[in-house]
Amino acid sequence: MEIELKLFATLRETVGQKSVTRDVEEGATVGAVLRDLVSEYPDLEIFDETDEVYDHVNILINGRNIQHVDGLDTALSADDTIGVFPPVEGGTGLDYDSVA
Amino acid sequence: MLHAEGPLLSIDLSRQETETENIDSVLESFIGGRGVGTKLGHDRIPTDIDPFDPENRLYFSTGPLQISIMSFTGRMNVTSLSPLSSGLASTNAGGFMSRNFADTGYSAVELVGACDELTAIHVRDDGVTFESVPALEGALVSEVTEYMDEEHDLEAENIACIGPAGENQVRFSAIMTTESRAFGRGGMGAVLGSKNVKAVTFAGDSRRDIDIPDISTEIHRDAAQSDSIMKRQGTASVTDLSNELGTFPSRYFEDVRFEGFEGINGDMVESKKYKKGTCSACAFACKLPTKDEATGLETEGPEFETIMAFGGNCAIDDIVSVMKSNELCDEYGMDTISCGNAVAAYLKANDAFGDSELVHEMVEKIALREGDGDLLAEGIHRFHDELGVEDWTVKGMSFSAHDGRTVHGQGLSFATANRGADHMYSTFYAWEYPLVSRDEAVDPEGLEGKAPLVVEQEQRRALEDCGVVCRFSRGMQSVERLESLFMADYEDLLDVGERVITLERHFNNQRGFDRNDDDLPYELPGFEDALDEYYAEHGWQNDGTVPANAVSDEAAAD
Repeated sequence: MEIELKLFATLRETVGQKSVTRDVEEGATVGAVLRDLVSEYPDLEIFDETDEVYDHVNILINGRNIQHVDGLDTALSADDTIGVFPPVEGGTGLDYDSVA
Repeated sequence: MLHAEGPLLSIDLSRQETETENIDSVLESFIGGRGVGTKLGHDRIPTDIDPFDPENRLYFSTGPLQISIMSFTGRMNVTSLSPLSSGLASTNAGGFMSRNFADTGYSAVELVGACDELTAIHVRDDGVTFESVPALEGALVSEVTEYMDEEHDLEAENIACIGPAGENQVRFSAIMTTESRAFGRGGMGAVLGSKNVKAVTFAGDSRRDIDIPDISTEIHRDAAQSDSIMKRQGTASVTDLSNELGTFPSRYFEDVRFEGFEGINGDMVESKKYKKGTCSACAFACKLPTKDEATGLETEGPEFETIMAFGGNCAIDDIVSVMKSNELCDEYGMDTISCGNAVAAYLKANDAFGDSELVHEMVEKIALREGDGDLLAEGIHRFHDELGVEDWTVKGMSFSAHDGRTVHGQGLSFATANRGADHMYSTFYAWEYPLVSRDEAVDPEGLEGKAPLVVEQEQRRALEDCGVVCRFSRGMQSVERLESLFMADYEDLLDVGERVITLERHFNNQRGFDRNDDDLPYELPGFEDALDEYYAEHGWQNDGTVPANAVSDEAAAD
């Protein structure tokens, strides 16, 4: 089945496209799709060195934050749209724990 | 606790007399800024007057941090009885005026009465002068700035002024400073207009000496080192996320997304930005000087909320059109949110969404109160029946973006905010998107358990407005840092915010505001229960009013 990945701001600059489509198996997870994308574009800043999603990076599935669904384990259905956003308004751009 | 220093300068415009008053006890209890303006306004503005009555009072005030070199402090406060909401309201603006205000040595300046003719007030540390300025009748903001430069050798950052909209008492007119920065929401420009005050200028050499804790240096360093996208795109950076989440109103609130968002988003603003822009002392530098090479149009912005009001809500997908609307509002002196929404309502009534020329024509007509502009200048709450459109306001103030139909906690905050449907009152949307750390995030769906969280953020925002600290320090302000910066326990700091909010509410209750005014033009799940919880959290009564003993206790604490 086909799903769409929409990338925004600095992430879009890294990939060089607004969106990409992917063929995935029914029930594939958001995390698996994003990890595949990062292996294709290693400069894409979605996961930190511990393989967790960077704080202040927002991942939406059909407009809803995956944090309030099943996180990276959120299962995909046909025609789903994943939106990935870098830190925006008010985001520090800093690893806050290191400066607090 | 850290607080502003210096006396209150009270200016009687009718008598052209001034008086200086020690307000140390107010400063110690309310820190500065919105707290001081609110305490003075609550105690001194008669509760039964029209906002345009000469007995209305308007306060300019700074906090302790406006003498500092810390980022995020290039702001100051104005408080008055709002012609838009008809309640006590505060608004703050960035730019560079706060330092010149601090140089006068006053912590607050009060204007009461009204001048007989159009007047500029010059506030110096060695006295106040009143200058009749009939030549400035109808002057644009840039023309006022030019006049003050030529006649008084003053710069834009010495000046607070109104444009034609304020003179014409447009109910959402702004007080402008540093040319392009607005004390935007609540119609404070119209209050100055009703007093025949075209401009107030501030200068001197008597800045108070206040010991600012060293943590300010760390915060400043973080602002300098941050690689936030706000340094490139300002608040416009949130446009894409807002649209994807469904919090971006379009076509006069018909929808929560706009198909043309990519024509007006942060990338488009950045493509027009030609240099960095900032406020006093701020290394975060999120402002947006922009220029369209093809037309020669220059402005500062648009910021995200202007993009919503003049872009999405008017169904305009052209960034240059939104830049022009922004520039017209800056020159005529109007709040871009309320003005853009009023124009959007007009477009809806006339089936004219997307008509850029009509948008710009109506902005000018509103400012000059010409034709249908005269009706629109009254604000949506007062004109919606005549145009046959829905009343998208709370307490007379039209909605900013971050649509509460999607982020429900923000919806509760829009309903309950003392000054009306404004996102800056609690910025609760930031917890629901989230724009804060993931472990602080709140599910946007539903209202269960959210009221105490909304109240805490209201209190923190009120504290920031006392300081005065910019909202966009959000990512660099931990509880520990706030405690260090203000030299007080977090609970005591929240208590300052709570007392400010309670005084606003108490004043407004005396003008008839109650639970019926804490309402939305849409339904949210569990809204009435959340209201109950919200009032209980504040210690207010279930009808949305403040118990008499809450304010007398507060007074006793002075």
